[in-house]
Amino acid sequence: MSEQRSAARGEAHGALRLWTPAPEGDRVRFAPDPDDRYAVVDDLEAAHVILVLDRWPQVDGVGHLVFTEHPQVRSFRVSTFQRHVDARRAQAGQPAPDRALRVGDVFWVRAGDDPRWNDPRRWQLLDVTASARRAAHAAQVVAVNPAMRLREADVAHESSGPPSPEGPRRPPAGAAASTV
Amino acid sequence: MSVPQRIPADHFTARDLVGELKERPDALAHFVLNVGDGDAQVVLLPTDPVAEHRRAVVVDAGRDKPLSLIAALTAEGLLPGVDDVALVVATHPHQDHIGAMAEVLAGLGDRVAEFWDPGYFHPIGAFHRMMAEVERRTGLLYSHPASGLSRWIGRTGITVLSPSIHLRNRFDTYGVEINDSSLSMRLQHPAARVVTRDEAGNVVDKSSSEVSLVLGGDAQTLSWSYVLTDFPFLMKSNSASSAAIAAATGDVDLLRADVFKVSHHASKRGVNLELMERIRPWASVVSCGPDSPRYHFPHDLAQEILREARDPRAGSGGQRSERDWEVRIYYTADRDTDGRALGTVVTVLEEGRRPQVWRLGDTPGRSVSVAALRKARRLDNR
Repeated sequence: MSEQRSAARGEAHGALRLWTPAPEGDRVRFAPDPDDRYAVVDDLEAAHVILVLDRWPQVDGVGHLVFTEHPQVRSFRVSTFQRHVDARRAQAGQPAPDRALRVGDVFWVRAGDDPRWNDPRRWQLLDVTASARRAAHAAQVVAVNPAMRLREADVAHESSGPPSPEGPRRPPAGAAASTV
Repeated sequence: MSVPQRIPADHFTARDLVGELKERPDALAHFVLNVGDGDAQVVLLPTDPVAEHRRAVVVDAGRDKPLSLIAALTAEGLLPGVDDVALVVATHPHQDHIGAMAEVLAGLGDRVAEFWDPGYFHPIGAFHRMMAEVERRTGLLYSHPASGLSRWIGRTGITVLSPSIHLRNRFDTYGVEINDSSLSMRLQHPAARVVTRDEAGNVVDKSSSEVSLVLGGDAQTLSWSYVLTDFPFLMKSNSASSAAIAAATGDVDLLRADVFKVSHHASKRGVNLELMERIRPWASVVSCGPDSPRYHFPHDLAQEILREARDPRAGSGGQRSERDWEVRIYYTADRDTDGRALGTVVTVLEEGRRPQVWRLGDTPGRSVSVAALRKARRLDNR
């Protein structure tokens, strides 16, 4: 069992820069800013959605998403947030714009004129679920086996190089089935 | 939700919990820390006769409060400060359970031998920070246990109750609700394997005097349904095979426990009556905020199930008291009749002795200090 953890990651993780995933959509206009938020559906409890709002992450030289601050947690009515998400997905030409919210969905959000993050109807928003889930899965795989590199783990590393000639990589099976 | 009834202030006696634990090296102490809406627990194991010191197990870190408790226990000599955190468990990757896990792992450093999580990935920042800390700690043994795994730490046994492998194999999809990915565990002390035979080789049934905990994570109905299947109660009968099974298992329900850390903060899907009747806890402990505006816990339905399991009245027409402390249901959000927060719930369990309940009087945002341990409040047994 100790073999599993024996390979230390010796390399430096390199300089940080803002994570820039490539969400699907025909009309995606997307340039993250450090003040933006990375909003995750952490729970759906009765009629409420619990959102965890982390500051928009950076990505290091080997593809780790780096979160440095503790998040804000907000609770909204599911129906209100769902309507706003559906409208924004449709506006960006994202697939399955009316897909029901699920725990683990992730959105890039910009506060607009709601600096306290209390009214999601005033937020700019984009669904980045597929990329974010792929990155979380890769972080787990690499933690299990530090000898593995993030690229080997098929990580979202979209901001590190030119787009693949084959187009966007497919997300893992589960995420693909639900988000595309 | 219904706000817990206040516990009479005169039911408590100010006592020194540190002194109590020093005098009783064979006692186990289970701390359900008051972190508001969230979970953070520490189990201080009895003194290991080989290692000659205690060890701790940390279960969840919705806030970094386990760090302050372990620092206080170390300062008071109840933990040696080296190689003494046998296991850290992240039951599932919800923010209210792993929000400070990276800080706890970093703060405990090389004291931690082993880390478990259920293997469920969740894209919140806290999950990335936790995984980065695990990746950094290459000396750490990291596992994704599923139901049935048994692990012994000194004379204490840990059995993983959930997640069932049925659920684990569906984690990489949206097919399992995140709460149902929870690692739940049963701890028993002393573990049966080390006490089932005496020096002459005879089977000794000490299972009736073992102390035990069931720590429920946020497991919900689906997960518990697999637990009830995977851990059947093989009841005593007169058949030869039954007698053999009884000799091997002590004829004890594999889910029974002295203390149940109620799953999912007593949400309406966190417990069911069948489960509670199997566990039959001496005390149930609920971790929840004082008014839980975000999650609305505890839920009336779950509270009624906890009460019914302790004091069956359904269908009899009898009036049930909602003074939950009378049937030993405790909430981290409890207050006494003077309005003082009772905070962290500590149960002290020892083979052959009556359990004790202590309260540390802390609020969610405050760390646990040596003074809080030295001036704890012990609930009188009534």
